[in-house]
Amino acid sequence: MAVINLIAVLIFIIFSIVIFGVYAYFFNSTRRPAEEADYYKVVTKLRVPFFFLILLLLIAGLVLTLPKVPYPSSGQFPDAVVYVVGKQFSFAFDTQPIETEERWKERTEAEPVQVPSDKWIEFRVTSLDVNHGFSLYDENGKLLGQTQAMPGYVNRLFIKFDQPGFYTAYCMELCGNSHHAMKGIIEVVETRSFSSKIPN
Amino acid sequence: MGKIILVILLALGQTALAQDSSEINNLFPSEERYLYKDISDVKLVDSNGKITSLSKIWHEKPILLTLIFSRCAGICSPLISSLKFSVDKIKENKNFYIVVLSFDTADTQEDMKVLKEGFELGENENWIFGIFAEKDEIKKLSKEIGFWYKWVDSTGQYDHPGIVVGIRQGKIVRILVGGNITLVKLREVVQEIKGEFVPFYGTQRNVAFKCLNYDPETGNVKIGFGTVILFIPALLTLAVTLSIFYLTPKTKNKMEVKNASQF
Amino acid sequence: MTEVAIKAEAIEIEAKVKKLTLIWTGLTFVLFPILGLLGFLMRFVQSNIFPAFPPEWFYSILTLHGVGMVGLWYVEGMTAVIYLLSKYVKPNTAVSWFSFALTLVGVALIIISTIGGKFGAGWYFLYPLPYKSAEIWPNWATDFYLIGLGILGIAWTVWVIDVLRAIAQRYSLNQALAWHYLAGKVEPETPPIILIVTVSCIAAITGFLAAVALLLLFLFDRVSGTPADPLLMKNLVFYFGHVLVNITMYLGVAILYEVLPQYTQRPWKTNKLVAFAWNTVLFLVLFAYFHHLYMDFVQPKAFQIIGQFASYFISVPAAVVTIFSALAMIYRTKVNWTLGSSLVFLGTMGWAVGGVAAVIDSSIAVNFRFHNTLWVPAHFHTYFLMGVVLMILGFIYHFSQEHSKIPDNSKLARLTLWLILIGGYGFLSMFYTGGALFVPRRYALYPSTFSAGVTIAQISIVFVSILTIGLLLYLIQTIRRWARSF
Repeated sequence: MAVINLIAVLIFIIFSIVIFGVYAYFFNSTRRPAEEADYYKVVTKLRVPFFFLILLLLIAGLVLTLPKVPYPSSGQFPDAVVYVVGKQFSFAFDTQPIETEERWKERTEAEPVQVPSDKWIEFRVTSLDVNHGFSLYDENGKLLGQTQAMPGYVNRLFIKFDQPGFYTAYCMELCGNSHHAMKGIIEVVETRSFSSKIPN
Repeated sequence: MGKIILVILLALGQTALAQDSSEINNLFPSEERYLYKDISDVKLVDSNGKITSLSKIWHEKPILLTLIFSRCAGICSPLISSLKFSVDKIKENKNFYIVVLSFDTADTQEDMKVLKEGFELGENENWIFGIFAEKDEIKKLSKEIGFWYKWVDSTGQYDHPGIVVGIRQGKIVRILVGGNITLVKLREVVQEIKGEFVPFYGTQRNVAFKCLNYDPETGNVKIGFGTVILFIPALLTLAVTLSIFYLTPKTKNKMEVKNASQF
Repeated sequence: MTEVAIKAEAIEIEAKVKKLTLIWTGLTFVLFPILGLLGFLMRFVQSNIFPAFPPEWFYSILTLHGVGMVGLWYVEGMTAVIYLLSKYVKPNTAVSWFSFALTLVGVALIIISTIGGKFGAGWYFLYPLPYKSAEIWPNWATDFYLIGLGILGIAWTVWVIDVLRAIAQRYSLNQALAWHYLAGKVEPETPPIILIVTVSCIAAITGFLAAVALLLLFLFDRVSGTPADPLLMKNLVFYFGHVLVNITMYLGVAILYEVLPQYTQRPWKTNKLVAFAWNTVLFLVLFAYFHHLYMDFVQPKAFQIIGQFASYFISVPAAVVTIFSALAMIYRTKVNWTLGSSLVFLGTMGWAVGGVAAVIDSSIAVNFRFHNTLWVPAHFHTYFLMGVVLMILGFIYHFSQEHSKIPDNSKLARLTLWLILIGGYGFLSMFYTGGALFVPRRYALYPSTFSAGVTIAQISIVFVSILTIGLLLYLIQTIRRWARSF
């Protein structure tokens, strides 16, 4: 759901145009300086309304965005858990914790983990060496969500994949000279076909 | 997790080798496979003879569930002892039940009563000892939590892993494997069955000045010395600034060094 | 002291400060084009124009460009401000020279580390990457970088302390922070530049001390092998970086408050509002840095929320007090628009636009998808390049023109400004587009998913070229006047 980002970009474009406009207007006004009058006091009368406008916009921003923070809330149950480990220069996924370099290597060469679509997946993300950024993209290059992969800590990222397909994790924190080539792949399958695949 | 499995492997090494090799992977339930899966409701008869069900219990409070049998000469006793010991150590409100069920069809509700009293838990309402009301539910539940048991003629005992399953609202939240339930691990499970996230688990490293220390004893995330370090620059700056302003002698001279030319 | 003696002393101080300013500015004329061209080169590499360009060189250039620009504009900002401050207080020129010498040493070490050693951990050297380079750069390159930073830290901390000392000679702490204005008094007068510089220097010291803690922990790890807590290190480095960049911005704003009045013939004095605004800034700047750690979910949630509040509300003094007043001040006023005054003024526009982008990204829910995409370099280049850099470049021209007495060439100035504006904002718009398309930042090469990133980089080259011509014209006009100022 990138609606929030679309809105963010639009707001930015609108505000920038307004700012450019205001500056152009004020610059132009210096071409016809007021000989007798002093407009400073007149303009500064707008300060208080301007202040309230800014305040309103900021409060609106807080109210609209704070409820949507991606931090998992207490008691939120995922439908499946995937463990992710970042290491120079690949992400490894598994359904069990990956605690050693050998396991990481083995998992980077293995088939992609499969998770069901339209369900909440909890990614437990950490790193075995340096800071990486675990960032999930769909096949069209749209960013679904991200968290940092930090050595010694586990970040828990909840993502719901709407569509089946292959999703790629790209690295979003500079981690060395192959930072741009670092990735990991996860496969999302239809929920129905998924349940038949769970070994039990 | 891996370490616990390793310990069990060593302890029950012989038994493991005796197993059919195709079962090796399923020998010790690997938690991850069962996480957040639903657990079926089973009817049970508690040590007082009352018939109830797991769902009735978990609707009231989250559960720590373990499967044992009363004639166990092996892992069951140490498991329940260590569990009891660790549970007692948890200082805050014990807002969960510990359900000890026997998977042995030969066990009766009386046997469980005796067992409960044997552990000096006779009066403790947080502990529920019981047997399955319907025997065909034993295998089903066991499979759901990755538990297995096998009768060994030579010893006259069942072989089985020691496990404790954390259940919240009918879902498996954690599975602990082993005969010795440590406080550290139990704390994590208790926290998760209460629905609180445990933010740190994974590689324990010797790290200088951690920001936040997760204390398994109390279950609190405490401010570590690292966080204190974060506030030191601001405090030191205050000291430095105050020193500069109080120690610098003021010049009485009011002469202003004017900028020579202005546009 | 007699009138004559006082005047003689004043002239001597002025001469010393002027020489200092000229020399530091000379360094800027050398470093700015080099660092800028490094940035230009990065865009070339990202455009796939040099497909054989080794990625490790990209990352070392990225590091040098980053740390160089952050440091350069801090240093030149301080220089400008010390020059302007000397009207009111007496910073010690010997200390400035000491800082200058040490800065040269630090810069040399950093250049050797990045160009010689291929150190490529990025300018904020996020722990534990510097010593875990996957065999790309040797440990000595990291040592040089960190030692270089340490030396710069010493140079700049001493510098900042001396500026505070100079202010403390004439103003008590509460006067320097204009607290008496909050109580309704206007005597003794605290010029805005004193207030802003006091706030900036105090904040700077907290940042430098955080850097000291950071470097000590790095040293501890290097020497004893005990790793530091990565979360602590991340907090420290982003605190240090955030504060440093912000106070550089405020130094530019101090220039605005002091220089613009000279072109509008309108005084810009401290009042209750200005005092309140800048004291608020001093408080909020300590907490805003949390917005760099939004994607570290292990950070206490309280810190994250505080970060969003602080980042949001710190925009209020900037918008409602400074930028608003600057605009009000020029409305239908006869302003002497020279290249210098125009640049100083236009810097506020970059500050405004960049500020909007920054506040947007400092919403956690938005940051969830914008973090470390090209939106980040987009917004910081906006208020840095098109903000504080323009302000400082404006000052340099103003200063050079003042002393060389060569009149402004308004036609050439206008051409220069348009080239800078179109080139600059065009270049930025490509970054913003990249951010909107979720293209990651700091990628030497773009995988096929992000082929848009390549196209964007190619288009940006056109704009950077325009910007470069504009900046070249600026340099020609300014260096000519600078040389004549000696």
